[in-house]
Amino acid sequence: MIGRTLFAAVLAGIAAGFVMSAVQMWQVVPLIMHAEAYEDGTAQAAPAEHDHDQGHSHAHEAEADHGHGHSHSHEAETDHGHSHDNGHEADDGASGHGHTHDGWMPEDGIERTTFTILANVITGVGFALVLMAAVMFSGREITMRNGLVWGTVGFFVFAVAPAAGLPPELPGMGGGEVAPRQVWWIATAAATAAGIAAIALWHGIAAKAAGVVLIALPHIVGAPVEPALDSPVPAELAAQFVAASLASAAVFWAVLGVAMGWLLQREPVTREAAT
Amino acid sequence: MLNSPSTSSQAVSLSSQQRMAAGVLALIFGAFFLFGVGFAHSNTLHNAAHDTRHALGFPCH
Repeated sequence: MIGRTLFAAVLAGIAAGFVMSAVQMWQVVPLIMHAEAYEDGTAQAAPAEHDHDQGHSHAHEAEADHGHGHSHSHEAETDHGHSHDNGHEADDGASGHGHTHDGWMPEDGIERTTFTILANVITGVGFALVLMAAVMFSGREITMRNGLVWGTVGFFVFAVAPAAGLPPELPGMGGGEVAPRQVWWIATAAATAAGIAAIALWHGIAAKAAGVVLIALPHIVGAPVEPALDSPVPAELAAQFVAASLASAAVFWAVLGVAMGWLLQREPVTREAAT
Repeated sequence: MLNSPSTSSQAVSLSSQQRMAAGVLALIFGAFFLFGVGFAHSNTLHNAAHDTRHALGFPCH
């Protein structure tokens, strides 16, 4: 019984991960590729437009024009000018913060896309299991009708609340140490989830007030952000990216919530468990 | 799970203990997957999941 419930979550997560991958490849990844040209210092400083294909050709032209002394000029054709290899030492000077990608990494093209989709699907399963845990702990049901509500809660917990303090960043924009930001991200998601649970599940004004405090607290404390004003990535690109990132997350959570509700309401094991 | 005519809907539902067990299991597995994809500092994991981390707003380099 428990196994069937978990299996339903895994299925819903895989489905939502694939749907998100499609949106991401279309709307989000081109912005990442574009930003990597700036991160690498191979894009033109002030492009007039943000057409993504143009961005790539900028990168190649800039590579040819400026040279930049990168040792990987042979790889530029396949790398689209992104800096995740031996060229990253030069990148530090341009972006003003240490940014290293060492070791194995997938080749651009099919391999990189495959790994991204795989990572999306695993992420989808991970979020699906966490959502399932929330459903189980709450004592409430998830059905096709209220799946969108559950999905919206997940969207606020794992996308909106963390993004309010740590907006999704393009390559080359990261500010400060990773570990404190990861701690803040996780703590914010946990506090937001606990706050929503307090408001939605508990009666009484004290519980509601505690919920509001829990949701607000991470933002009162503030995220450990160092402003990356020296980022080589244009602000317009960064703004587009934040919107695209949140939009793809919204699609993911909507699909996940509805798919999980659809799968579970067909399972007699959970249909009436809330009472 | 066989539903005999006499089995009430309550009998086939997860008990509250089972719900807790399922919730704990789901949370552990889910957190494990999310940590590996979104938070692990291993360079190989980071590079493999690079675009996913950026796209979903996980803190990344």
